[in-house]
Amino acid sequence: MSSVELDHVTIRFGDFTAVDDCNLTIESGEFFSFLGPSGCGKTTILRAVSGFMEPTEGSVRIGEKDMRGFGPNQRPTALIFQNLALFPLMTVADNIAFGLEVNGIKYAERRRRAEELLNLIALPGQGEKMVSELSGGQKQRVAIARALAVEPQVLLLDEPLSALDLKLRQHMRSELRTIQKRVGITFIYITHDQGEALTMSDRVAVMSAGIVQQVGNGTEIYNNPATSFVASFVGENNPLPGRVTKADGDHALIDSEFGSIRGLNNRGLKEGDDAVVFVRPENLKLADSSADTSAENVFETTVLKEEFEGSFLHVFLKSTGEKPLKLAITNDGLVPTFNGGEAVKVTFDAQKAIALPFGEMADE
Amino acid sequence: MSEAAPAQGMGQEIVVAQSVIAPQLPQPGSDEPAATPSMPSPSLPSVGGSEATPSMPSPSLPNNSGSMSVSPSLPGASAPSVTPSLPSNGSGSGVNITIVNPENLPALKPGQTELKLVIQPEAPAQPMQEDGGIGFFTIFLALVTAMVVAPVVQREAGKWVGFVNAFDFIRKNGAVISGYLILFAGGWIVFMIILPQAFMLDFSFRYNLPPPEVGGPNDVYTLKNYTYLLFGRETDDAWLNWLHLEVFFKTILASVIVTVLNFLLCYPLAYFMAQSVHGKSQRLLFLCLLLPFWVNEILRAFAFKLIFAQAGLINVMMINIGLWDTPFDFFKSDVALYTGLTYAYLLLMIFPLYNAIESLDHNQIEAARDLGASWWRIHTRVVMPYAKPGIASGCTMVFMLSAGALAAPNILGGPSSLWFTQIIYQWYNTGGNWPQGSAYAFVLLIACIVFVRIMMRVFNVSLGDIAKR
Repeated sequence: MSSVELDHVTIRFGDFTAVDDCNLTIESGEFFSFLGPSGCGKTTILRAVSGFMEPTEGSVRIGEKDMRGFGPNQRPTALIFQNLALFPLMTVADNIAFGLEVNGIKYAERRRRAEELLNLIALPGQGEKMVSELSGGQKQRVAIARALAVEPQVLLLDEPLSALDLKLRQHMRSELRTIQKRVGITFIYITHDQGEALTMSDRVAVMSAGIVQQVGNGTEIYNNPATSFVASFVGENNPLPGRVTKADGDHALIDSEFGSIRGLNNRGLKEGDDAVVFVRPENLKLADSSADTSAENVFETTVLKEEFEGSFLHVFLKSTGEKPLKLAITNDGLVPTFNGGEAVKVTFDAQKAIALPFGEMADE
Repeated sequence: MSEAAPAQGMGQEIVVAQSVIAPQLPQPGSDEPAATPSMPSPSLPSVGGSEATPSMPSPSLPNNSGSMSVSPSLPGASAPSVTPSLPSNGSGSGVNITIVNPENLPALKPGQTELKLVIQPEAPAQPMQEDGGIGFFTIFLALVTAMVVAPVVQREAGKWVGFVNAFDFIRKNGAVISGYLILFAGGWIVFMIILPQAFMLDFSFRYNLPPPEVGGPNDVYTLKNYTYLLFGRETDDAWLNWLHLEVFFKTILASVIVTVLNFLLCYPLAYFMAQSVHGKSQRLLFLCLLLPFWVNEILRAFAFKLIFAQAGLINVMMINIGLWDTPFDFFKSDVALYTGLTYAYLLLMIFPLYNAIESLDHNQIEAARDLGASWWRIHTRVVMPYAKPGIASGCTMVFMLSAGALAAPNILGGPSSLWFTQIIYQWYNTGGNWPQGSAYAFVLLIACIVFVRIMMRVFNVSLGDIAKR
């Protein structure tokens, strides 16, 4: 059982900085995810932890031991590859026992351990099959068993579910979580899928352009994003950009093209700062046609289209930018219908809007 | 001239129109030069049908003890050309010929104007168990065929779908293209590979006869050429033909050594080029490998000779450095030969290896490493099993070609080392014994095929795997 500590880790490829001054401590036994779009540096961090790459600056410590100079075969980590990288010419049992075999464990002991792990992954007695005979989900589990066979202190998973179809992916999420609970070791999980990160992880680090934007549990990240990138990347959010005219206590008042809007100011905005207020679609409400548009957090716009999604009705509204605003109405059986071009008034609660410094947005 | 020879049924005597038996040959109109009986011509198979005959026969010959064969030929075919050489005595009266062996008498028809007489002055101590020879030959051929064809038949049996696909092939590619492919691929295989080999195989079971006897009664099948490799001449003291057998096994063994050397040399290089370098440096490496092979093989062999000579580059360098005092004889110790052969077939090893290793997912190597495998284990458990078809393909090619090499052993071989191909070459060239050479060549070919098949069985590789690379 070991914690993983990233101490001022910076990794450069020539002029390109893949990871920029990353400081993190992943607790022992934690299910920790790195979430970010492709190219954000999350896989690079994983390779630095597993030992396939040394950080340009800073150090990686596993169980308080500096790992500099230790190769991947000498670290107490096991990596599960995106394409699983199972050995196609070996049986399932040989695959699982490979790590034991190369460490000189005797055949009988290897068979015993392999059978144990096959039970753990719910594939008992299938050790003699070839890898090609397994289904996608079964291969997934064999890859996990192969990694667990060497009894690593840290298991690293590089988007291992991305090749599976949606149903199986959702099933494997809970299965991975169950396995992690059972073996109790540290899992570091890399994904670009926020659903995976939020459902499975104890904590999530959201990354963009080599920088860790925010570390926190799912609720924190969803409800209280630290940067405009996190706000726009995790979940859906409507950005309302403008300039801070007043910062008082918890709130910031922002002058925008939607009029004067107020949101929570958790990140120390000051008067004159460029800011963006983020309102989630479920927090945007339709106002009465009599509402005063000069009041705070009320503005008028036109309906572009509507999309019915069963439990929600999504209404797309004209915004200042290219992307329309999105408003979600819970379907209680009484939802009204909207026509394109119809003028509506929209409002939202200042307690449910977050004002953040203007910055990078995730392009979804 | 227009008189016909009396028909058959004359008992032991027949009368042949005199004009037919030309006393002095070669005939003026004959388009082929008379070959001397002592010299075999390279175009042996074609000799049998020619009219070239030895110059000794004369009308009085029938009294000789030599056997004689009489064969009718088409009336009028070459008669006019014979006329000028008619003997003056007894014009138009015919000549009496006594046939010693009446069973061999061909049917003679009235109106037949020509008889060809082939006289064999001295028949070899034959027919050396003629029936036994053919029996052996049949068994041998059957064995060879079975060995080569059996695995294929085994695999293909029941795959009649493949036969139906032949039509599918035509439907897919169109009549013109499939016709072209079938005609040229088939033509190539039949005319360039199967037929010449079949002729050589046929040769190897025949006596080395002078051209006139080819196709004659002495031209029978024999195992003599094969037994010669084993036992030598009957008059030899030693039971076995040690000289040739030793060379044979030394050639096989040396080819194995060359193959192993080549593999040891090429595997790390191929791995490096396939998995570790990319882009520009990879292309540069390939170029460095390829460029030297634009130089002619003979020239490269001679370059090695220069390097390894007594006063060559290495000896001079080493003596100057002081590593050794007297020049080392690289040729006598076969170092030059092994180096030359290994280098000659380097590319044939590298490319199959490269192709095989290149397609290996690099993640598998990393996965093995991550699970704690040492480099040695990664290669023996992950890379080599994956690259096995490529390894088999490269080793087969290098082994076959080394065993069949001629130039390198000729130029780089030591004074005492002889390559089996050099013996074959001697049989064909200086020995003038094509059947013997063919037999030796076939023994080498079969031995190589058997050896490779055994190795494939040992390492559990199929022929299809090799062909893929």
